[in-house]
Amino acid sequence: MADGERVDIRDKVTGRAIYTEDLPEPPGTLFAAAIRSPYSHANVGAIDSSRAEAVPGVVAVLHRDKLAEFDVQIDEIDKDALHMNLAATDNPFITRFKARYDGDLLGMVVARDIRIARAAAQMVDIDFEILPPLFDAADALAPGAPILHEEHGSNLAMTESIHWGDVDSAFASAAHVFEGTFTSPTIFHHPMEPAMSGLVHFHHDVLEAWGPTNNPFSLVEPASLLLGLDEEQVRVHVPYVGGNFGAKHMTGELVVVSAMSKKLGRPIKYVATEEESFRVTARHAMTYRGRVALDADARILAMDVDLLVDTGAYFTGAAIATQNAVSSGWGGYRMPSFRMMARTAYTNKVPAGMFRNTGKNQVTFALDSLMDSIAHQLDLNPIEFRLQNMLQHGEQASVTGWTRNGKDVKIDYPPLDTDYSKLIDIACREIRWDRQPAARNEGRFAVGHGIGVSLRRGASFGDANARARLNADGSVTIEHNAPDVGEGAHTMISVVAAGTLGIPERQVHVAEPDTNYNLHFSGTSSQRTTIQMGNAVRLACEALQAEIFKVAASSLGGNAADWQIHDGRACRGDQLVELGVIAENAGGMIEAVGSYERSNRVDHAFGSRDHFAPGVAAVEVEVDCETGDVRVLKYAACADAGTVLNYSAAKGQIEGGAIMGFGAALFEEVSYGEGQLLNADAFQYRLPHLSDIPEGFSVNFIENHDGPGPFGSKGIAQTSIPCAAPAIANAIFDAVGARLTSTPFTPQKVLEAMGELKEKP
Amino acid sequence: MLRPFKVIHPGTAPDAVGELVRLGDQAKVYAGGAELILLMRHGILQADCLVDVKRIPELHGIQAHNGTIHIGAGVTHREIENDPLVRERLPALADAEGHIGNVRVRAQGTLGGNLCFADPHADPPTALLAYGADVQVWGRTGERAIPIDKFLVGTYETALEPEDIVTRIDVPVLPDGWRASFQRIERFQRPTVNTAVAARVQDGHIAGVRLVAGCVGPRATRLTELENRIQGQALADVSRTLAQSDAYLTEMLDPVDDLLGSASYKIHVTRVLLQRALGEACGIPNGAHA
Repeated sequence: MADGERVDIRDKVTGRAIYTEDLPEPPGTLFAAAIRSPYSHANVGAIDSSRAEAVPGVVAVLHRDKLAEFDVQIDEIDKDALHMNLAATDNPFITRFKARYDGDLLGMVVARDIRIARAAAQMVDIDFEILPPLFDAADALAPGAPILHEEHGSNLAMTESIHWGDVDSAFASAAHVFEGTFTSPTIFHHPMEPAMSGLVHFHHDVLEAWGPTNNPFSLVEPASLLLGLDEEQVRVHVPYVGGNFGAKHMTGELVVVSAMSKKLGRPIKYVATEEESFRVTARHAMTYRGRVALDADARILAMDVDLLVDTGAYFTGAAIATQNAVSSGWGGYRMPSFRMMARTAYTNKVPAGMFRNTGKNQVTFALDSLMDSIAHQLDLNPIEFRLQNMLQHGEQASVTGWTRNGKDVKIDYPPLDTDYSKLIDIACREIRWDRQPAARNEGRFAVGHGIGVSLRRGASFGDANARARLNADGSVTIEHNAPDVGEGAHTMISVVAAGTLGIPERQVHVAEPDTNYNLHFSGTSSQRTTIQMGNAVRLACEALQAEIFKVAASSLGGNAADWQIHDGRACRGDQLVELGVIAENAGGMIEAVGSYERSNRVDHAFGSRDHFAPGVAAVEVEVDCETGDVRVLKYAACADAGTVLNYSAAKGQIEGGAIMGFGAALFEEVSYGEGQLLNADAFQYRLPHLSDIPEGFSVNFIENHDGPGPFGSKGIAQTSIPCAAPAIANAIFDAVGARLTSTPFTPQKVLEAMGELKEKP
Repeated sequence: MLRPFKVIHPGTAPDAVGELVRLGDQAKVYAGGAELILLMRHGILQADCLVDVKRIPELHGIQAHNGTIHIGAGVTHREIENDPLVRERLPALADAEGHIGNVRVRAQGTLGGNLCFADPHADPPTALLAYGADVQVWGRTGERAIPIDKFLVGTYETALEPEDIVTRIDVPVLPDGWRASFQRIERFQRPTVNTAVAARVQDGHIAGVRLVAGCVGPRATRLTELENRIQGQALADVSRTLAQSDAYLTEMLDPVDDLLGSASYKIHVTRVLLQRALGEACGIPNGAHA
């Protein structure tokens, strides 16, 4: 639709963009440093902070034994509402008696200088009783494993199951049965700007906070409860955010410094280091074991899946990740009968939370690798095998009955609104799938092609509110609470406002999120922003337009229906009026609010999902058969965007997702050993480099203008990331005949899968 | 986060040694800081004082003397990588230097600094062992030369005394008929494994060879026993000898499992890179493979 400039791009490329760490410090600002557990599992005994407090420049220390001193409402600590990151979690804002992961927050030191604060944080003496750590979900569920949460009784955090059709009969009558087990490790989002930083200032009876988050409201409730404030006394601003991917939540660190700011009456700035950022959140490790029954014509009859999820030290994102994993366990495949059982375990790792396409990337890697493997084992073309077994446009899934956790669930599975054959066709054409690559199987290099397909069910539930205001200078300001986390939310708002009102984008000003607007939003996440905030902005602008026409009619003549807006000006026949004049006629401004909601229907199988968001990737890789090194030579991603609202932002989303997917596929793993997190910095945690990205990288969109978002748009943010790992694994198989079953595909694993490595040298 | 420190700029190597003697433990030698500043920023190493040897004029310059290339310890990796003399006479060293870190690191870090830091995952020591370089050192008792094989001791450990500074690296040009090759693979900026080979072929046989493996053990290592095995072999037989060298490589390099891979992976890749380097040094187009 629009091919304009992103609203944030000039600030960012010229270095003018102000991120939280860049905010000017108010006079008297103090600096905070965290006190953390160096152990992955330990009982916390006596805490003595006297040495730290004696350091010149240290102003205060807060930890378990000083909560009352800082007027923290201790009785509220164990209440659900306080739980950080998400509503349902057992993660207290600080841990008091037990450290459950390397990095668990025990308190904070504030000082007049960041160096002093960090040095003093190392001088808090704590008696730790070290306990054996668990770094693997299967170990955690084994009999006799140490229990992380005694009150919970076991390390089994939750289970989730779904079942329809007659799986057992299908397997009994199947012509073919195939099986595969696929694992994905814990990985970290690694946003460029560290997670959980912030500036807080309690003044004039209000706690004012600035921080990088995808949801400013996530601090309001916990801070107000713990500090004994009304929610109106907590005001959150969100400056530019340097990457989110699910890692940018308001965290315990900010609640602690808020309490300290309230007691001390001073502004406090907390900036996490990269090593601390690694200890905020992570992607869930998963092991997916799938069995597939097929008839003699290679049509899928049933699947039976067992899933093991590692949520880390606290529940945090367990429910959403597990439910998402289970409800995407069969992807876009036609599945007459299906059964999936997930178990989610606590381990002594960083608590896993939301991660771009939460819970579904790991499952898509497994499912689409398994399907590719079946096609090869049946000697079928992997693309034809998929097309035969995937749902077609308009097809209603043949779901005949469904239970979730033993209870019947209403089926709310819309017919497929996309066309996989087109997406696959475009992606394959882009990499010239039909051509034998020149270097194929010559010398030490082998070249192969692979595809990956994914299906995401639209946006999550939530609500969005926006205010559109016509100013006296003729500009329109959009107030809202959708942080732009780098993906282009504010560009989307600008495009929708301008397009709805009929004014040029330069006349639109998208405001910075501020909870004082009193405009709730569920957060820039879960692919909801374009649909929900986009529609809220559209509705606000439609309402504003109606108001403008009313004022125009009453002050300038005619009926409201006679008025239109063209190219930024109001017109009635030959009469052209600057919009600022109409604002002046209304007393200086006109404003209107738009609201949009998708409620969470928990009793329905698909909650509130309003559209499908498919992804397809086709890839050409080169494998060095001697060293096991894998290079991506060509990559084509294809998404059904409904309508592209801003081409460069949409392209950036697809590219960014795919490259993040390269990282998970080829490089990334958070490693634990000797009781600690081993690689919490970019020197030891391998991220994708520019040199890993192929020149032949193409992004393609299908636009049928049939989505539920403004102008027929759909969500696309999370469509490219899940396809990368299966596409690359499938291409490696095509190249060297070796099936990679665990990410990342390190050279060592490639050599092992090829049978090239001896067990003992 | 860096803590404040003082920087001292001595004008000569003896002055630098004098400062190190005077300041003792509180001083560290600064020769580009590519490694040092990282450690200081992470609080792993602390110094009140840095003695900057990078600006000492006698530590600069690259010159040829009687078949040896003298490289000042304060010369940056970037200067070495691009130096016409090094590229022509010591191509495997130029290749190794061109792989270090990234261009910003190479523009800042120096050869002397790299050698003194003695990170096992470094490129120059592997190449310098194949060339048989000497390290020139200025210390309390004046100047002395240490062969590179003696200079490298272990992980972050060299033969230097605390007050010694490296002034120059003398690299002999290979005799006529010899060729050298440097090979490396990496997952991070530092090499996972590297190898360097110098060899001379006569009448289809190995007439002389030096094999070096880096990164797997605590320091880069000359593989003399394997050299002896392939010395005199026909080129056609060399690949078989190398293919059977895993047990010897394991014994020599003492590999461990770590974030870069398993011990067996490292040995496998070391062998592959030795085959590639030997193949290039011997002029075999597809490497010395079976």
